[in-house]
Amino acid sequence: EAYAHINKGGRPRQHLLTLTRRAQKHRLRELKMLVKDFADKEEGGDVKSVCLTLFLLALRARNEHRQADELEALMEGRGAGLHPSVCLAIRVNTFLSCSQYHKMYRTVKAITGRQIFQPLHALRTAEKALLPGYHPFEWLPPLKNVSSNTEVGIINGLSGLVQSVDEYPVDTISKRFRYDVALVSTLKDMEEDILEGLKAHELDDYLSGPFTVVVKESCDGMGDVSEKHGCGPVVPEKAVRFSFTIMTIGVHHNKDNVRIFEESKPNSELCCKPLCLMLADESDHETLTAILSPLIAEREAMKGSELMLELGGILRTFKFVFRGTGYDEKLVREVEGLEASGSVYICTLCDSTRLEASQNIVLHSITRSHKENLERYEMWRSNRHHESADELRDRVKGVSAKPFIETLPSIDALHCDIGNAAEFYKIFQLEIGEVFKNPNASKEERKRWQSTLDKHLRKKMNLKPIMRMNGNFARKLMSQETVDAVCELIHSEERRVAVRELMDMYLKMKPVWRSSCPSKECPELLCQYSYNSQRFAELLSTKFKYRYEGKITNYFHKTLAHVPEIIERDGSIGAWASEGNESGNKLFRRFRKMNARQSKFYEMEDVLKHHWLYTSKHLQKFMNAHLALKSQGFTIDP
Amino acid sequence: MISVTNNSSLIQPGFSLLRIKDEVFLFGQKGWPKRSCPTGIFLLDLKNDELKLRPTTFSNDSCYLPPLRYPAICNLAGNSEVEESQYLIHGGKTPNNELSNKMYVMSTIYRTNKKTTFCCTEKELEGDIPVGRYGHSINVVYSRGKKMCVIFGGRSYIPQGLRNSENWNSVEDCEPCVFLIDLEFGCSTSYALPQLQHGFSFHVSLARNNTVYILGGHCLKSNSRPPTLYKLKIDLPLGSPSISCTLLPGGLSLSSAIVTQIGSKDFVIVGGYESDTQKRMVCHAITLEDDSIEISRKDSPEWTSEIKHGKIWFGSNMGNGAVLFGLPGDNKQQATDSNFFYVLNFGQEKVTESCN
Ligand SMILES: [Zn+2]
Repeated sequence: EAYAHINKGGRPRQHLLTLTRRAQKHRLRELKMLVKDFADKEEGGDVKSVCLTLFLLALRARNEHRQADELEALMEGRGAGLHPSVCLAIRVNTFLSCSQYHKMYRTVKAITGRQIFQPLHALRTAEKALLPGYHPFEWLPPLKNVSSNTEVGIINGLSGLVQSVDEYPVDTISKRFRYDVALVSTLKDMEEDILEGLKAHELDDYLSGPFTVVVKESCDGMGDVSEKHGCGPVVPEKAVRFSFTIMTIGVHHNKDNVRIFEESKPNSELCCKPLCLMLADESDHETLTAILSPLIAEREAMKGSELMLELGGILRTFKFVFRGTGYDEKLVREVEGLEASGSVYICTLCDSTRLEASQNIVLHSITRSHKENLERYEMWRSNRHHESADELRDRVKGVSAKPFIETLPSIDALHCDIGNAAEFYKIFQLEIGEVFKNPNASKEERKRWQSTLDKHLRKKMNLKPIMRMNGNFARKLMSQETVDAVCELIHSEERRVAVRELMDMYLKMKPVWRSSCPSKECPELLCQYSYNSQRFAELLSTKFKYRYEGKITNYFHKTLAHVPEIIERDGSIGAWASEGNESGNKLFRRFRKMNARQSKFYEMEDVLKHHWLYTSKHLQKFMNAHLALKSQGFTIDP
Repeated sequence: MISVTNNSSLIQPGFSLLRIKDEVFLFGQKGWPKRSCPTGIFLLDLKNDELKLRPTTFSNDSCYLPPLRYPAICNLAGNSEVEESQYLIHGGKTPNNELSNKMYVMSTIYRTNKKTTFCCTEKELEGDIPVGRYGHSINVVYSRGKKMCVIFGGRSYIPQGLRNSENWNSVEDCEPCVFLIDLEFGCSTSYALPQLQHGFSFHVSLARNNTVYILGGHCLKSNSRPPTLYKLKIDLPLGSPSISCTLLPGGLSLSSAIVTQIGSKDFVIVGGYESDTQKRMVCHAITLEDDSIEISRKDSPEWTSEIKHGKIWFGSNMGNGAVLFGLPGDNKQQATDSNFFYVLNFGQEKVTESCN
């Protein structure tokens, strides 16, 4: 409206700012001469100062102080200072606390005499716009069970849980964002990327909707987060973190689905946005459901509505697809009502029992779903067919608790890595002990094989023994070099060949489920996957029969039986892994130590806020630009 | 003090105990039942101050109810032996924090080799059904050869329309009406009584013949524990039931107190809270005559210092004058053994004997 036509004397007149420079010159010619006369007479001919001051006064008169401040700084030659967003990016990325930043700001100002860094209040203003709760939006139809208030920042994860002596004790502290508000903030943070994406597909003037946003959800428990500080209630020294990542944004155009945004690093902690933090044990079901149920209610509501949000100056519609793939098997089982992972129902994707899976290693299709799990729980609860516990259990395939979060039956690539590496580590020990010919070894003997393996791996591979398998150890263990080293401990040539081939097959399969886009990154291996998995299965049931007769591990089953189907469905397994959230755990510890107030009541809030800012693409851009400039020597090193 | 040698982390606040014949069973375990005991009901095996939880099984015609915290629960305790071994369970919080509105009938059917088999059936309710709730009470009354079940009080989530994701876990007092449920047909009818103006929960309820006494409780709305004692008299003539309510003097300010029976007419009230910050360290004796109730102070046991100093305690009636108390430990890193337990005996040393 600011640029609307101005009617003067009946003749439509175009707004000054919409004119070409030539026309503007023409229109202001008289004024310019007046100003020049004035400047000559009163200000020693300094037309620029007169104009700037006029502009400044006009801004102040309209209360546009921020722009006025910037202009003033420019006039005083302080323009070389950093943009508040750059300062915020620096502060967040270098894990500076507010007081540390303030010290630096003061020091630089004192030494240089110039305000290179912006004061904290300027940063606070900048961060407000980046945190959830800043941008208005609307849902159509309005979200069921979710308030229509959009100015909602960090909220208490307890969601009104009463704390009183008569009630179930609340031993947790939790802070979170409202899911829909957080998604809006994320989309606004990505505004530039989205608009660029539209431009790249020549859809600049794309107005029809909706934009389809695909969201990866991850949740994970972290052990031992003990901190010897803070007053307040005794809470478990464990934490659970729920995060999401916007994976793709697409539009429907000319009967085509055009992908206007695709996360290039879907496993980076930089795009994995924290949604909910709680100090709780992930296996404390009562607490987990109390905190996550409202969040799930928000998610369920969003599935049935469309978001109306202004982006690039135009009101646009978005719909969301949620895919809960970033859970480890333990948590999938916990939230989907399945028995724990030691169960004979070994798979979270199909109904196979351990025995069936070991007899038919490769041919299984995905049959489980959240909806069916719910139906099966009701079947279990009501026992309509009047069966014994065992018959009933077989009917419901081990679903005996009520599911409360919908996950997408999938394989978590990170945990698959870890689970399989743990199994190879075991196989190596058994081969060292030649279990294929003496299966009745004592516990002591078995311990000895392990220590032989540990010593050898340490010497040859520089791999220190570990208590629990982790991603790094798994990566190093699952390599040709490791097998070569292990083979030095195996006497029989035939066994060496078998172990080598097993690893060889494994290494040919692994890239298929690790890469973000196997059809591009490793098309041949993708084609050979069925063949390789078949060969791997044969090896297990022949050469390694001593371990896999009638048995198979959960992750071997998933790796051998389900990978091709998931890749066909999702295009990738690796992209949908939980690694971003796992790396987020490290950030959680770091932010908690470096950036949070030392009080149980406030620390989660501070951690959540900091972590959120850390994942801002907007700030990351500023940071990258700043680093690029700095490396060229353009700005002053803090 | 007793030590729980296995699965002690399964006993959590809100648990219930069922006494059937000489055995006591735990209902309302923490989390969903695991493979080792899919019923979620455990026999309490108490020997020499050592408590073991032993799994029980369900018969084929049973349904599998979720573990429920703070349900309303009562023994049918009728004239026949069958009824003696039957419990009614209504409402409660599931491990997913949903509030159940279902009613279950739990009975033992046979025991072989020390293994107890339960038959659990869901009682379909119809008519004016109480909404899902917890912290309420259920009792059975008898009048003119008929029996009826009485449900009162409790808390429920704030109603649809007001409940949103930011106050998802907020609860309120249920409407102060009395529900009468016909156990044969599952017909439920609610009665609003002028004497009952405010809802409350975690009260004590005791029934004798056609009368239910409702003592104390916590009112969320006023965050108070009004020292009230209501007498609900239910008459069951051929037509529709009639129900009367009288406010009696001599009530007590209490919540979450535990009642255990020590004689045919004699009960003890122990535990609970007198205020938000004060445990109720005193005990009371209650005598129920045919048409009257008498409440008097009773010597309280010598509380140990751990019990005295803790902020909360929780427990349930083991029957025969015994109560199982749990106190939270302060070690939060280990999930196991985070609670410790006491058995308080008001009767003779019967409990330990009978569990041998
Ligand atoms: Zn499977």
